[in-house]
Amino acid sequence: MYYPPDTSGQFLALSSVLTGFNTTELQATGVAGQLWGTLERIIGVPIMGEMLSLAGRHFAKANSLEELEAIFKKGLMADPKFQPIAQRIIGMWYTGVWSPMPSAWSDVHGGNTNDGTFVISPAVYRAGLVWPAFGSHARSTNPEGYGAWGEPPLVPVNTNPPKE
Amino acid sequence: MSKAKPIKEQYDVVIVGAGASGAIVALELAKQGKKVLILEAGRGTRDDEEGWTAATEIFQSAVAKVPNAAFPPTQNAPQLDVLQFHNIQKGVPDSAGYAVQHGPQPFASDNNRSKGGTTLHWLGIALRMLPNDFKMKTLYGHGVDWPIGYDDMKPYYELAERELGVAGDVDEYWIPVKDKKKYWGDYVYPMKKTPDSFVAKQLKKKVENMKVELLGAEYTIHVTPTPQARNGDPNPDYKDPVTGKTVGYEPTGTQQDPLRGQRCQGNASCVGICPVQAKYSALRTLNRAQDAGRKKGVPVTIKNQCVASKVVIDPKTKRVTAIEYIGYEQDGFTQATFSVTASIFVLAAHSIENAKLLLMSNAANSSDQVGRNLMDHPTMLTWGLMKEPVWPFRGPGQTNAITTFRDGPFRKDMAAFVLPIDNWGWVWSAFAPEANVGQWVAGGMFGTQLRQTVAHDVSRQICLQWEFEQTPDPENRVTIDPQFLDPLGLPRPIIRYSISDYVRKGMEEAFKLSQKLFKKAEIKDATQYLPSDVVHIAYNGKGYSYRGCGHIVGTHRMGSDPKHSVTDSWLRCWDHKNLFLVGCGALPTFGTSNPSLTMAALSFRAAEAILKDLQQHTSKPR
Repeated sequence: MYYPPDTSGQFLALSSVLTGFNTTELQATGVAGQLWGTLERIIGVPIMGEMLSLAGRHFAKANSLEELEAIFKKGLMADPKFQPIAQRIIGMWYTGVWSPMPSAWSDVHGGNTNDGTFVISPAVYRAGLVWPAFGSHARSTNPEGYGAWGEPPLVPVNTNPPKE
Repeated sequence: MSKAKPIKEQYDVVIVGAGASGAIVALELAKQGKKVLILEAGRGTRDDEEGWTAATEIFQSAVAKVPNAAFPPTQNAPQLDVLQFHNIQKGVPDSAGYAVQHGPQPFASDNNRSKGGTTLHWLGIALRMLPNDFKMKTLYGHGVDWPIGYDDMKPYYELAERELGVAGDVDEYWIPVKDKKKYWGDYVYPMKKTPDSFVAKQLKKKVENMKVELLGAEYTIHVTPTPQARNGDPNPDYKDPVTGKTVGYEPTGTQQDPLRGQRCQGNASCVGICPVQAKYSALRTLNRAQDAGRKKGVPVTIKNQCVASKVVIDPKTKRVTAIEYIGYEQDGFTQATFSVTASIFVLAAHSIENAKLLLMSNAANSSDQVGRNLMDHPTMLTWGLMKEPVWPFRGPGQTNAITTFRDGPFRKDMAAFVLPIDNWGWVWSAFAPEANVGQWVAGGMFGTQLRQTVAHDVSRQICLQWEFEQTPDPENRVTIDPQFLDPLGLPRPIIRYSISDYVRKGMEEAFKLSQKLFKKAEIKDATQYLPSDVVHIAYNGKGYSYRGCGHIVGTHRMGSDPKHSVTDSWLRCWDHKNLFLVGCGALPTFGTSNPSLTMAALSFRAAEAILKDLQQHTSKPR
C-alpha cells in the first residue's frame, strides 16, 4: 500500500479541528510534514488512512465548526482506536512532543519501536501552538525584542473564558 | 598515583575550573602578564557561535527544559542535574544520580561542569548582600559573622558588576537598609534597569505599600526592579569603578559579533540558554582573559576535558607543589594522568567539586570544615491565576521582586526571604504551559475549547518564589566514599542535607503572607504541595514543598579563625599558603542574595591577594 505523504489536505483539515487553529495558521508553521512523518513511522499509514477517512465523513456531515466539533466529540474523539492518536497529534502541534501510545492501545493495534517520549525536532518545538495561543513564543525563539515584555503582546489574543 | 606524567611548562598560577570565579582570577592575572593555565573538567565546545547554536537546538530538543538541558555532561565529568533528584526514603540513600544523597532532604540544586561553568545556565540575578547579612551571628544569633563586612566588599561588588554587566536602578531598588546613601555612594549601574515585566507591573498596582504583619511587627510591601547581569540600555553616567571617571558602558555582544546580543531580546529561556548571549556567562570573561594574555604576550591556556584528581602537598612545607589531572579525548576514553606545577594554585570548580577535590587530596582540612555548611536558597512557590491577563513567558525569568523581607528583626526567629515575581507563569511550579496542555487534552479537550482555555488560563498565570536564607549547618555536607566512584575512578559526592526549623518557620509565615497577598491582588490560588513532590517537609502539622534554587554555597568557608574556617578572607587556605579556594563555597553565609555576584566580587579580591603573593614569591628564592 502506498499513501502519498499528506502535508496539506486532509491531515491539515483534521489538525485544524483538533487544535483550534485554522489550516493557514498550521500551514504557516512549516512543520506539518514532520508531524505526518512521525505518524507514519509510529502509527503507520493504514491506521492513519482510516482516521483521515473517518474525519472526512465527519466533515461531510457538519454545516459549521460548532457542529463539526460536536460530531468529533461523539465520533473520532470518543473512538478508543483514534482518540489516543488525536491526542498525540494535538500534543505534537501544541508542544512539539510525542508521548508514547497507551499500552492498552498498543496491545490491540501493535506497538512500535519508534514510540516513546521525544521532541519531534527543534523546528517543531519552535512552531508549538501553545505559545501563540496565549500571545507568546516558544522559549528560546521568536523573541519580541528588548522591553516588549513590559506591555501586552502586539498581536491581540482573545482571553475570554472558553465556552463549555 | 605517582604515575602522573609531569608537564614541563611552568606556570605562575594553575586554576582548576573554567567557570566565573576561575575566569575572573585568570583575567586579573593575565592583565598583569602572569602565566596562567586553566584546567576544565568538561567540554569547551560552546565557545563559538556554532557551538552556541548547537546548544540552543539541544535545549529545544529536550523534553524537560531543565537548567542543564542545553549542556549535557561528558561521561568523565558528570554533574548534578535536577532530573536526578528524588524524594528520599528514610534509610535508603539515593545513588541514582551523580551524587549519592543520604537526605533526609535531597540537595535539589544542580551545577554545570564545562567551560563557562554554571553561569551557562544561571538566571543572571546579581544582588549585593546587605550590610546586616555579614553579621548574622552578632545581630540575630544564627550562622556566623563574616570576617569582613559590606564596606570591605563594596569596591569589589563594583568590579563584579562591571565584569558581569549588571543592569539596575539604584534609586528605584528598594532594600531594607538604614542608610541608602552609604550603601550605594554615588554609584550607578553599568546599564539601566531591565524593563519591568507586565506581570510585575500589574502585581505592583495591587500590592505596593500594602501593610502586613510578621511576628508582631508591621512591614510595607515593596515591588522593586531586580539588578541582573543582562544586557540592556547602557548608562551614560556610569563611572569606572577604579578611576571614578564617567566613562559610560558598552554591553558585550557574542564572541564573533560584538553587535549581537547587546540587548536582551526576550527569548524567555535565560535558565536553559540565552540564544544571543545577552545574559552574562563566564565565556565572556574567559575571552577577555585570553585577549589580555595575548596583549601581554603571555597567553592564558585553557585545557578542556582535564579533570583535576589530586592536590599534591609537600608534607614538610605544607605548600602545594602540583595538581594532578586526568586528560581525556572523548566521552569515554581516558588518555593519561599528568602533573602540573605552578607558584600558586587556585581551586575554582564550584562548591561541590572544590570540596571533593580537597577531601580526595587530604588537603586544607585542619578545621574539619571542608565539605560542611552546604547551603542553598530553599524556594517555596505559591501560584495562581490573576483576574486579568498578565502575559507571562515573555522576557527574562524575573525582572522584579518584593524585597521587604530581606532583613528585619524577624530574623532572630525565622529565615529572611526575597520574593521574586516569576515572569514565566507556572513553569517552575507546574511545568507550564506544556503540562497544562497535557492535562487538558487528557481530560478530553480539543479544538476551540482547548485553544480558548490556553488563552484564558496561561495568560493569567502568576507564581511567587519565596527564596529563604539557609544558615550554615556543619551536618549539611559533602563527603566522599571509595565505594562510589565516577567513570574515571574518582569519588562521587556523597551529600547529607536537611532543612532546619529556622527555614521551616519561615515557610510557615511566608505561606500565611502569600494568602494575604493573593487576596489583596485577587489571585485565584492554585498552590498545591504533595507528599510525592521531590522535596516535601512538614512543620507544625502542615506540609510544604520547595525547590532547590541552584545556589550551591558554603563548602569551604572563609573566616577569621583557622579552627572554624578553611580560608582567610582573601580565600587563601589557612593550611597551604599557596592554595586559594574561590567560588560560592567561600561564602560563610549569603543572606537572601543570589550568590554569583558575591562570588565574583570575592574572586576579584582573591586575585588581588594572589598578585601580591606572586610578587613576594618571585622576589624570594624558591
